[in-house]
Amino acid sequence: MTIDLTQFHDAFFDESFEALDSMESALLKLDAGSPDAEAINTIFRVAHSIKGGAATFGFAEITSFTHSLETLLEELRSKRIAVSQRICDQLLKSVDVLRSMLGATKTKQPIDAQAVADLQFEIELIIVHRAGSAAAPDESSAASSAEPPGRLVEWLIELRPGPEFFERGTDPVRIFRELAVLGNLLVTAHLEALPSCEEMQPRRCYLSWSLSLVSDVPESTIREIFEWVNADCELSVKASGSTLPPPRSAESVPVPAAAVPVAAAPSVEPVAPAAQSANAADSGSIRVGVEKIDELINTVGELVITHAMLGQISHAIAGPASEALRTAIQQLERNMRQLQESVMRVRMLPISAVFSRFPRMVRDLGQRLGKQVELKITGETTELDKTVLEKIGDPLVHLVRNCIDHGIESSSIRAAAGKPPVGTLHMNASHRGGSICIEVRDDGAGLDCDRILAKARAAGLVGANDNLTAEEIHELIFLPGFTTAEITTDVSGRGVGMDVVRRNVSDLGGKIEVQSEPGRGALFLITLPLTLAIVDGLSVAVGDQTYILPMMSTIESLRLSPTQVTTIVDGREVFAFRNEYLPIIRLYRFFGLTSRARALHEGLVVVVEGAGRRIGLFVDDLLGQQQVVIKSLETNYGHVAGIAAATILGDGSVALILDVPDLIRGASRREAA
Amino acid sequence: MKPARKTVRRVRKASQPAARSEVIALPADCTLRNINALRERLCAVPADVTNITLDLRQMERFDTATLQLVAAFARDQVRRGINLLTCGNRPVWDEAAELLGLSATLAARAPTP
Repeated sequence: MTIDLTQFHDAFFDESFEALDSMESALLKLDAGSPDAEAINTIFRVAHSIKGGAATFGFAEITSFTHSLETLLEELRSKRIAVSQRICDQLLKSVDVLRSMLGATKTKQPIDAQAVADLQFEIELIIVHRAGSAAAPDESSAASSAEPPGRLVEWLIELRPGPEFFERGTDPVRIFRELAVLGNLLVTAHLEALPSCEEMQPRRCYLSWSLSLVSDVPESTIREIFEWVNADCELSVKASGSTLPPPRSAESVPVPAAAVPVAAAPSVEPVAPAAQSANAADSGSIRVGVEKIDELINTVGELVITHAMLGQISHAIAGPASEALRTAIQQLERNMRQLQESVMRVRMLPISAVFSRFPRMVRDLGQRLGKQVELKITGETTELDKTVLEKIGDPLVHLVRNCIDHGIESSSIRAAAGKPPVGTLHMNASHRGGSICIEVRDDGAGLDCDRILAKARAAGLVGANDNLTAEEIHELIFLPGFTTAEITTDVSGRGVGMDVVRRNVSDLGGKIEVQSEPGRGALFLITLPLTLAIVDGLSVAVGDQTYILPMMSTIESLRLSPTQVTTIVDGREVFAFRNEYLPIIRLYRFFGLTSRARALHEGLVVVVEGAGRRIGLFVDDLLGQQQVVIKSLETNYGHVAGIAAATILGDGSVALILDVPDLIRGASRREAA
Repeated sequence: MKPARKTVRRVRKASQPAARSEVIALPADCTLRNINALRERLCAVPADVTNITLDLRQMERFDTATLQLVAAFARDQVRRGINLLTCGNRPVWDEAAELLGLSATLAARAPTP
């Protein structure tokens, strides 16, 4: 029976990517001075597991690369090679290369062969140098030499590779190199089958070998080295002088390569895909495609609308059955909410998925900039919607880069200021009400208000005589193109960072604030909605239309008397609100509608906040507060200025959800013009 | 006596073709990816060369498939009486040849005529 292994590819890629995350995490904790054995074991297991899966599926380049990696890790595990900073760096690069290889293989794109070959070569050089310097006893070899030596045995190994040995990513020289580490190795190549250069097909393997290994290792250790090539070669391992055949295990039976399809490999460790699936089921979790969850959420959204319709219809029905109907609808509503919350929870993922990229980034950036930075991460189990999670990564990267480049000082400057030489970057996530708060805090120099103000004045962003509070000066860093960096580096300083951060956060329906204390550090606080699928909204009436204002953007609603409003240049209206003047946008005018309320005192002004600014939106009336299911306008129609999305109300009518940051940006543009 | 020795030298020069050398520079990437091109380059060596030098100086990566190909080439040349030399010998190349048991084949010299 032939098994279609492609059905397991997705599971293999998903699990390999997850495994690489844990490998990277373990590597970052690896101390070159005193490496943790368990961390090395974890790293080894990941490489071993990926190699096994890749070999099973015939991903030859990944198999080959992980084989080299595994060889190096085995050397580290057995303490034959000491963990050094250089090796840590190469192993971290291996994580990057493996991610890239897996990504390319998954999307059926060509692998960056040059990058792979370069790193593989580096790794093999490390192994070779160790083998070459085996005579020079190091600490680890001294330790191992203290152990009682086992009985020396001469192992006779016959290796007859199949013709596709090379093409399957197997390189005998690596195998022999591993054997050479175990003892005294003598290799005899058999060239009888090797045709002339003109006749040969150079990708085929024509050579076979007889090897003699004098070593105290058991047979199993030798066979382990050949573990991944058994399917494509004939292998015999026996002790010299012994007439008995070696113990026949499934692995040791000579297997003609051509007779064994790749699908026959599941008997090989590590766990084959089918077994992996079984393990996943045992662990009480299953993998579900995002599109299936989104479909489920969409259906729940439709149910919410249908439920609202039923509620409206029930009020129009009289008679004895109407009460029972309303009770049933109330029960339906409870079940609906429960279902809705359960489905929404499925989309929620821990923020550790995003935070996990930062230890590596902080380490690399610190090294490049010559700064010592310790990263503390807390609240990584805080969950938020998958879409929010995917989009918050880039803004956080900007923030962290800025904190390390501009905020945290070099060790000498810190020491001179009486601070610990190692700077601290603290990332924290937590739930606050119906929102997620993400904090990025550093203990660096803080924002330099004088320098920011001078730059802003020089750029004409602030008048020469304007007096700004510290908070207002901090806000200047979010202006497009603003930077205080004297030198533009590839880390930061191009002035395209912080305004993009604010815009991305705003686009997610969130906001970003900054607090800073000179010499003590800065705190960037991002507040985000829990989900993008459902929003708590304030429904407002404008003419005959209903609009939804996200509650997160709404600060207050008020009815203004004519005396509170001042008309300035071009007929623009402003009003005083908490010590600042806010512009008023008449929504009926913005959307070209006929309003019931014309004078400001006839309607209401809703103060909203977004993109770091506040404005007043003039509406006819407030209709109520409700949760609404977001329906993408861009997917179903196209982008409309000032509109974020649409929703369907209980009466079946469509209401548009306002894009507050976009409205504010529009108002700013008009002001600037 | 002097003229006679001169004559002998002239005779030798006229009866033997001039020694012709060919230098084959192995590329940086000598792995399975480029092995067909390398085989074509090796097979394109003119029949009248008497010395072939493999220049390893640019080579950055190689695998067993390449060593197998070069071993076949070296054996062919020895059979044809052509000397195969290498320049830019690299420890890693030598170590790999040693590990694969191919050192003798790669270092073999054509019998002296």
